[in-house]
Amino acid sequence: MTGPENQAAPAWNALEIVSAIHIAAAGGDLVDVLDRVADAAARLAGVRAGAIYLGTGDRLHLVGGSADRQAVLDLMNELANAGPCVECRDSGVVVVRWLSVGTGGAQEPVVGIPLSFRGEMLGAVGLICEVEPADDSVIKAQALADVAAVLVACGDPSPDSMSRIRAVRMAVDGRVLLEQASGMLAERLGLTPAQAHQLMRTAANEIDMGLAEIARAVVDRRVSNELASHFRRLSARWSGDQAQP
Amino acid sequence: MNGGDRWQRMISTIDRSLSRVDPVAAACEGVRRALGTAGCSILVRSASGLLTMSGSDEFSSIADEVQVVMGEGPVVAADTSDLPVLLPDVSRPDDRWLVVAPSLSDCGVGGMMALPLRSGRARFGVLTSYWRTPVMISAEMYADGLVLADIVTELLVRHLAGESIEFEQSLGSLGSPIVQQSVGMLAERYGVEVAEAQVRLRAMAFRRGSTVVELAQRIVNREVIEEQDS
Repeated sequence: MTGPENQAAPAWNALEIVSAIHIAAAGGDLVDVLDRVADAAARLAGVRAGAIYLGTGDRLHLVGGSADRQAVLDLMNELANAGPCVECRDSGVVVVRWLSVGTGGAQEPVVGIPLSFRGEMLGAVGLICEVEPADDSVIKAQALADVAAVLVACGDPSPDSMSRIRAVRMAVDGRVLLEQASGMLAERLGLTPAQAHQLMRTAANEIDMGLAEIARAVVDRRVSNELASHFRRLSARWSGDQAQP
Repeated sequence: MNGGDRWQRMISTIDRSLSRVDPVAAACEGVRRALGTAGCSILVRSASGLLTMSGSDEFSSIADEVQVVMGEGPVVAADTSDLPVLLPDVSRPDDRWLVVAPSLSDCGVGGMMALPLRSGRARFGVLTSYWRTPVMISAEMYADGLVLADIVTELLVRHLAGESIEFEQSLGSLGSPIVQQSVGMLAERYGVEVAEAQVRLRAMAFRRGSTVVELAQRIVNREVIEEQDS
């Protein structure tokens, strides 16, 4: 957690936080932004994987995950209904538990960091660590959890609980849509869902479309020629990369 | 409200013995009790539009029909927008419901809430709650309603898949990313909508005696290539 890369590069850490705040200020698709914030939280804290969960008095739902997609799914499967993320969402304080996450078998520390807005619990940030997290790593991740909370809560400017519940709901729905689109595109192009997810995100960066808009087009089978050509080109480029020794 | 409490509390409002006979009616009655409404109904999408699949009483079914026939109202708006639509006081002037509001009043509706039944892009219908008098819909009631809509959606998927409803089995698999990825893969493979793929996945799991999450993992890993009888 306090690896040399973190100690040697405080400017990078500051850059991650500034970058997340910039993402928040710029707006865009919430589902895409939460992915990026989760990714930033994981890198900033120097952990194996990070995820953002939302749920107001309900079960937790995964809405954003760091780049290591399989680890995130393992984390989600095991932590959405019980464990440190649920505990911290209910208690409002950071919770660390040693758990065996995924298929590895070995126990590792899993941190749940509350995600709240003006005292209202919206969810949690979960981090799978390789070693016991240092306090400063947790503080950094908490900073990004706060960014995520502001992003979710400010999706609807009305400052009431109903709008917050609605905002959480929309983020969760956006995530489900993205997973469905990942599956469809994976089947269409012979990729894994994780690759399809990355393909959509890369396409979103290259053309003037949000990630959610792309996901909707995929699921509704309304992919434009331009987008289809992006998918083919990116997919072919990756195949070429993999074929190289 | 503690984490999973709302989910468990809402599930407990559904009559388990009735759910084995008519799960949709049981869910409907559970929603009515949980939210303290005068009536409740579940409308499902069909080729000919929205149809009331189950209503707790005639009053709810008539209020549904008024909106579907007139093509306006919270039920229609929730279905087309995919968003919850709240109408706490039918008698209060609202530009959105100029035509249908008087008819709803005539049916005896004081207030209502319409929640879409869906998961991602898979749209199944609408869950409605009706009150006889204007109602103050609190954040708690709203959150309860959304959880109930999730439960009803999953029950509907199981029902459409021909699966018997066993509450001892955990509900909530629709939220799993693996499940939704596999739904997308099946939709593409069979050229069907994601709603139908959701039902097919559930039916496949039921026939194979597997959990939905286990089967979904195998589909994503491409260990299940063809479903002969789907």
